[in-house]
Amino acid sequence: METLMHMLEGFGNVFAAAPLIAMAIGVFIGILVGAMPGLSPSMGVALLLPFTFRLDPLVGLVMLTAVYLASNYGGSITAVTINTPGTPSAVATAFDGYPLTQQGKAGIGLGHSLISSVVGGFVGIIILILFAQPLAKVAVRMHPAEYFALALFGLATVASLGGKNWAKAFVAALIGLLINTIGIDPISSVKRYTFGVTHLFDGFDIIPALIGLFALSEVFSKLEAREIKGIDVGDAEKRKDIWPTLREYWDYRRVTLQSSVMGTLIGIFPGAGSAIASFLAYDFAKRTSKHPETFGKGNPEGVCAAEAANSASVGGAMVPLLTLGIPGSASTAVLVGALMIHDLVPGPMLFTSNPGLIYGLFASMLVANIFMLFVGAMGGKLWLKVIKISPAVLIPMIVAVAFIGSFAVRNSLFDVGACFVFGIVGWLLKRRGYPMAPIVLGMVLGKLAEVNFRRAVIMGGYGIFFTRPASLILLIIAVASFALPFWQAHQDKRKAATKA
Amino acid sequence: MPNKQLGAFLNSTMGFWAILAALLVLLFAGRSVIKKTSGKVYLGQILVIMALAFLSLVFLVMTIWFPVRGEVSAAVVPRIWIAGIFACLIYLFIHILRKTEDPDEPAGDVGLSFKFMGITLAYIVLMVLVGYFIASLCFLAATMTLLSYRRPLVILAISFGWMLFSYLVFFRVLFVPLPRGILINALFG
Repeated sequence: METLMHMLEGFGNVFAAAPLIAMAIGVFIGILVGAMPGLSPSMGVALLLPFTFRLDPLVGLVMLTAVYLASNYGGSITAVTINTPGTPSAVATAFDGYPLTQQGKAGIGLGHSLISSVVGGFVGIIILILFAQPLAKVAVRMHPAEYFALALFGLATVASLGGKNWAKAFVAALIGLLINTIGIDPISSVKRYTFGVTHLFDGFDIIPALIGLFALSEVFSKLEAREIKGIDVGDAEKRKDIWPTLREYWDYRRVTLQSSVMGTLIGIFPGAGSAIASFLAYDFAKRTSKHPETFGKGNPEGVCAAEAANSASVGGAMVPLLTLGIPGSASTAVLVGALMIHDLVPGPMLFTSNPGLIYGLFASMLVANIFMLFVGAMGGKLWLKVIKISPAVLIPMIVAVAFIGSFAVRNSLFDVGACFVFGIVGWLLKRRGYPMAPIVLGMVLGKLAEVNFRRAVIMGGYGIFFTRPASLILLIIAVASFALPFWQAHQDKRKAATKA
Repeated sequence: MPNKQLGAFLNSTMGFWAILAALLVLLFAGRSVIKKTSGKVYLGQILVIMALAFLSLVFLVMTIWFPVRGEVSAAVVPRIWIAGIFACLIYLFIHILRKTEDPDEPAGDVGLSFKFMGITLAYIVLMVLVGYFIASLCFLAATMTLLSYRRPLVILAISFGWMLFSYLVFFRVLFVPLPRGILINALFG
C-alpha cells in the first residue's frame, strides 16, 4: 500500500513538462548511442552526465536513466539490420536478427526486438519497485562491517566476471580503489598523495575520470585500429520492412516473459550486466525451445529472448544501486556520479530522505519504455541514416563534448587535464587487456569500502568482519569469486591433460 | 621514522615530477633489456606490470609518512589495496614467465593515436590561452583534417556550428562558464 502511494506520487512528479521532455531527449539520445557501434551506453551516460548538473535532480536522473534504458535497446537496430551490434548486449540479438534480415524479414526482427525490449523493461522495473523498498529497509540496519564486505563482494564479482583477463580485472579494480585514496582522508583529514596540488585535496572527481576512461580511451583505441571509415549499411535503407502482427507478438509471450525475469535477476548481481543476461537468456531459450535447431537461422524466439533479458537487466542493475549504493555495472556507476553531483547519497537512506525522487525515477522508467515504443517504431531506417555519420566527424565531437563535460563539474581546467590523462592511461591499459569498468567501480566504491572498513574496526576490532555472520558470508563469497577463476583454470588444465 | 624531508619531497610537486621521471627511465631501461630476450612478445604487458609495480611501491613507501591519527590510520587501507595489486601482478608475471599468458596483440596505427593526442594537448593549452570556443573551432578543423575527412566546407560548417551550438546551449542556456582564455581576458577585459 505504501509503495502504491509512493508510486502515485512518483507519477505525479513525472507527468510535468520538464521530466517528460528530458525523458524524450534521453530516449532519443539513448537509442542513437546504442545504435552507433562506436558509442557504448556507459559512454553516452558519462558524456551527458555533466549537463544534468544544472537541472533539477529528478529531471537530470530521468534523462540519464532514459539514456541507459534506451541504449540497451538501440544496439539491436544495427544488430538486426546490418549485423553490426551497437552494444555488446546486442550480439546475441544478431544471432537470429540478422538471418531474419537476410531472409527479407528485417521488420520481423526489428518488431520483435522492440516489443521484447519494452516488455523486458517493464518486467525489470516492476521487480525493482517490488524489491527495492524491502531491501532498503534491510540495508538501513546493516553494520559497517557488512557494508564493507558487500562492497568487496561487488568488486570481486565484477572482476571475476572479467573472463580470461580476470587477474587484470582485479588489478583494475584495485587501481580504482587506490586512486580513490588520493586526497584528504575522510576520517583523519590526513593529506594522501596530493603532491602539493590543491585540486587533489578532494581527490580526482569521478566524472572527468569516467569520461576519460570510457570515452577518451575508446576514441584513442579506435584511432589505433584506424576505425575512421563510416559504416556501410548496404541496401538496408532502401528495403521495405513488414512488421509482425499482434498475434505473432503474442505467440512469443512465454520466451519474452521468462527471459525478462532471468534478465532482471542476472542484472541484480554486480558485474553481470546486460551482455551476460542476453547470452544466458538466449542459451536458455534455445535449450527449452521445441525447435532448438532453428536458433541461429532466423528464429524470432532468439531475438525475443536476447532483447527481453537485455532490457530487463537495467531494472535489475538499479536494485543494488538504489538500495545499497553499490553500482552493478559501468552505466550504473555513472548514475552514482549523477546522484553525487546533486548531493544525493545512493543507498537505503535515499528512500526515506527522498522518496519523491526515487519513486519518480521508477515512474519515469515505466513511462520511458512507452516512449521507447513510439520512438523505436519510427523504424530502423532513421537510425541507419544517423549511424552513417563518419567517425572522422564523430570522434572530434566526442572529445569536444567530453571536455565541456569535464570542465562543467567544478569549472576547472584541471579536470579537463585529468580527463585527458585518464584517457591516455585507460588506452594504455586497454591495449594490454585491462578492462575499464572495474577501475571506475573501484573509484566509485572506494570511499564506501574504506569508511565502512575503518568504522567497523573502530567499533569492534579487525575480528568483527569474521564474527558478524552476514559479513563473514559475504567475505566468503567474495573470496570464492576470487578463487573461482583459479579453480576453473585448474579444471581446464585437467581436461586438457585428460584429452592429451 | 625515516627522513621526514624525503617524505615531504615525495609528497610535493617536485616529488611528483621526480617519480614520473624515474618511472620513464625504468620503462625505457626495461624496454631496452626485454627487447633482446625471448620475452619481447610480452613487452607491452611486462612494461605495464613494471609501471604498476613501481607506482604501487612508491605509494606504499609514501604511506610511511602518513600521520597516525585515531585507531585506524590513513595508511591502512592504501596498504591493503597495494598488497592486492602486488599479489595480482606477481601472478600475472609468473604466467608471463611460464608463457601461459597470451602474447601482446600487434599494435595498430599508434602514430595516428599519438598525433591525435598531440592535437588534443594543444587544444587544452589553447583553451587556457584563447578560451573554449576558439580552441574548439581550431581543434575540430585540425582533427577532422587529420582523420582524412575530405570535405573542407563541411569541416568549416561543423567547426563553426559547434562553436555556435556550444555557446548557445552550454554557455547561455545551461550557464556553464566555459573558459574565455587568458589572452582574450587580457585584451578585452
